[in-house]
Amino acid sequence: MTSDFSLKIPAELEAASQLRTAQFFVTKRPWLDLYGVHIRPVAPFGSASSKPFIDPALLHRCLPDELLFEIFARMTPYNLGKAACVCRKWRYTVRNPVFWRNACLKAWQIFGVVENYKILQSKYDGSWRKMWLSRPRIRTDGKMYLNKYF
Amino acid sequence: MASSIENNNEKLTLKSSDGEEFLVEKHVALQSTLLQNMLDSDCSSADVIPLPKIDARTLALVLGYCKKHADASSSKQGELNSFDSEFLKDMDMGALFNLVLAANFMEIKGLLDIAAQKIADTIKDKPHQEVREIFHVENDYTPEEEAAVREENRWAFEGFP
Repeated sequence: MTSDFSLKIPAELEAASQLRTAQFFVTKRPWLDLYGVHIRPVAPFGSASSKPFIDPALLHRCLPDELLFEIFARMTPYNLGKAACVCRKWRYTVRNPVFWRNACLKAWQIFGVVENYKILQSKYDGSWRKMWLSRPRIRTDGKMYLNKYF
Repeated sequence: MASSIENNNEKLTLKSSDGEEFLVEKHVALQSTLLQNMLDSDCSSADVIPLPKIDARTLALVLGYCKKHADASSSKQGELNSFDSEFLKDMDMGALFNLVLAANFMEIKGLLDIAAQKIADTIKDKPHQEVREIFHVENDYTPEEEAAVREENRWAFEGFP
């Protein structure tokens, strides 16, 4: 009886300590609860699928993001708006404020750069894209007319 | 050293990623800001300059562009413009992408401009479905997301060809 007892306790202790270690290594990391969000460990890259992802677009395989930017930098805002509909990567690239700043400074260049920056802060929450979309402007493509979207 | 740099007939050797060597006149190489900086920083022109990111086919195209622009720098701009458009005419997309990469790496602004513009021109004024087909871009939007993005960019489709 005593021998049985003495054998059983270490085994239980070992199991318990193993469990605690396992808990530590799996997902329970109690200190993460301090942030109030459930953070899961990030899976190692590529582990979600057995096949590595190969982008079918040669454009994406060949050119790094900064060169996709160089291409988009040579398009009009209207073509950028259409390009955003192609895929997520393009939409993300088109979000770059540099495109919209350039478009705004060109569309309202008559106001001057300093004045445009002031208008940006006072009326458009610092967003060039918002300014491009909602500030009335004269469009000169073909016929001349006033353009306003919202 | 200084006297050899002043020599106009000086040539340098560029080596492509696939091991082919190109002998280039210095004034042609100077179209590239990268090579210009290398020469300015006293990099010996006797050495072979490796360009590990550029294959022989692309490098030959790049050097053809550089030669034309170096030789014609004093001649008419119109002639160069027609050369540029002829240069990129009928070029397949893969070759264009490689040109953009090479022009960016070698810092040849004029070439980056025309090659990137050519790709931009292929994208512009086409429906996004057609652009996906041309460039084999996968539509990774869910139908709901696509509808939302379409709505977000509705302004770009209105009153435009």
